Amino acid sequence: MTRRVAITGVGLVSPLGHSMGQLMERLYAGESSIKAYPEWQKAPFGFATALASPVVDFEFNELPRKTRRTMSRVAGLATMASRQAIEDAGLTQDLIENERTGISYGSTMGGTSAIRTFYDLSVSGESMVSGVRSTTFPQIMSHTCAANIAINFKIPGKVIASCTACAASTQSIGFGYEAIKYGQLDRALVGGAEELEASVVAVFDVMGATSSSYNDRPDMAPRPFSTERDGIVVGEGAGTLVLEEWQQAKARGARIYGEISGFYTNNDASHMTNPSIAGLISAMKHALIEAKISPEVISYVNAHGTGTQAGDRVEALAISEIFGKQALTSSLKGHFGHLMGACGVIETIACLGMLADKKAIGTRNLTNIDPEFSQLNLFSTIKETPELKYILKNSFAFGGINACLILKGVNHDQS
Amino acid sequence: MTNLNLSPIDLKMRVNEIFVDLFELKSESLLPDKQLFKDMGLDSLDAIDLIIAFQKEFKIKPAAEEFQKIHTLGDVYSLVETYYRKLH
Repeated sequence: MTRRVAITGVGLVSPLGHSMGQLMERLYAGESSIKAYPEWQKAPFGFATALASPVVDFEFNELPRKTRRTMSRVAGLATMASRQAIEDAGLTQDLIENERTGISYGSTMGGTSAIRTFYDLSVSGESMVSGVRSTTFPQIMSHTCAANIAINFKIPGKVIASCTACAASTQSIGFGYEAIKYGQLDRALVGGAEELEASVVAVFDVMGATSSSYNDRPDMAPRPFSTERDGIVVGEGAGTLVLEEWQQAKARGARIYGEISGFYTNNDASHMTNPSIAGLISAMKHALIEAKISPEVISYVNAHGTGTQAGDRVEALAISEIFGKQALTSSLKGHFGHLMGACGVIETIACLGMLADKKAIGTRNLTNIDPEFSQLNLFSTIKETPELKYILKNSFAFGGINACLILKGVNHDQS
Repeated sequence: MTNLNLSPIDLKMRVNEIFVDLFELKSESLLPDKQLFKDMGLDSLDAIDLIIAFQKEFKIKPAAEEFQKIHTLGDVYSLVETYYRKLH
């Protein structure tokens, strides 16, 4: 027997606001969060890009020292977003401190600034342990977000820590959904986080994957699906959803934002960095099968759409293979860049807003649609979409990882 | 930086600075009879960081079993003083 999974709480800290309301308002207004980092073009960085999408006005100093000492910025972002989601869901302490409550939370690879500090010390000429503290590893470890959330909020159930780079938070949502669907948990905090760290930007920059043509005009980058797209803009943030078994959520009178009705994740099993059309098609098709719906029901696809030449091309061709022009398709990365381990969940939160408002938000900076994508229904405006019931949400990552969610609005079949 | 001529008072001041820095305690709360775990809220991770800090600041490395006997801030002063004088 499988169970339905409701979304009953939302929390986020993002470059476009620190609440779902702020995020939606700024997305609808067509704002950009991209900022210039001219210092990155000088030593010791030497990057081609001088762009990033930071979270501003954020601190987690209000957390107690013993909680905060094991957190790098990524875990701080994750914890503050999770606190917001718990409050939003109205979870009582007996539901939080409950063996049937778990966590599924990821990031690209853990506390990247703490990793960098550790390696800076290692090459400083002093002893390798010089400067290492008892809390260094908890700040670094790949499951730092999940562990810090669990300990801070006293959540004792199952912990899943997906650290699959840019697909991490979409996988985390999906794995939490599966845990509830198949009866392993009754509720879960799910999502992902990322901290902006120059060493991560360097990884993409050296591969020629960062945007550098618009360094002096930050709001013009990135440009997903556009002919002039030239790469990603790395960002940061955190997003948390509270997922609950549908009947229990209804029984306690929880506000339901929507439903996760399908999820699938797979691997291209072909190349570490070049995505495959076949792998993406398979992920989307299987997510639809999981949700027991046909492609015609999807009226909007929220693409991964990072703004790279190769990635956008493969995704566009894969989406057009299944949906053609029937589904509106856009990427939100033109507004707030690539939030890496947080992108999937923050884009999912935006999708929940779109489902509620019956509006679809187009791709920012999409001035010239790549003619190769003519079989896709790409758009750059805000579209009133009264028929919007289901959204398909994609995320992909290096390593051939594909993750695909099907989100359903609440105004239909709530029984 | 290690100073070979630190007086007992200077040592206590340096120890206090470490407590303020590491554990975010107010300097006026640092009294010799305060219990580290019970009164000052430290735990086992903090004890490890304290040993690491003493190693770095004073170049001393108290044995773990010696450290386990410590209960109060006054005990910490005595331990640091003992090891520091042995070394210098």
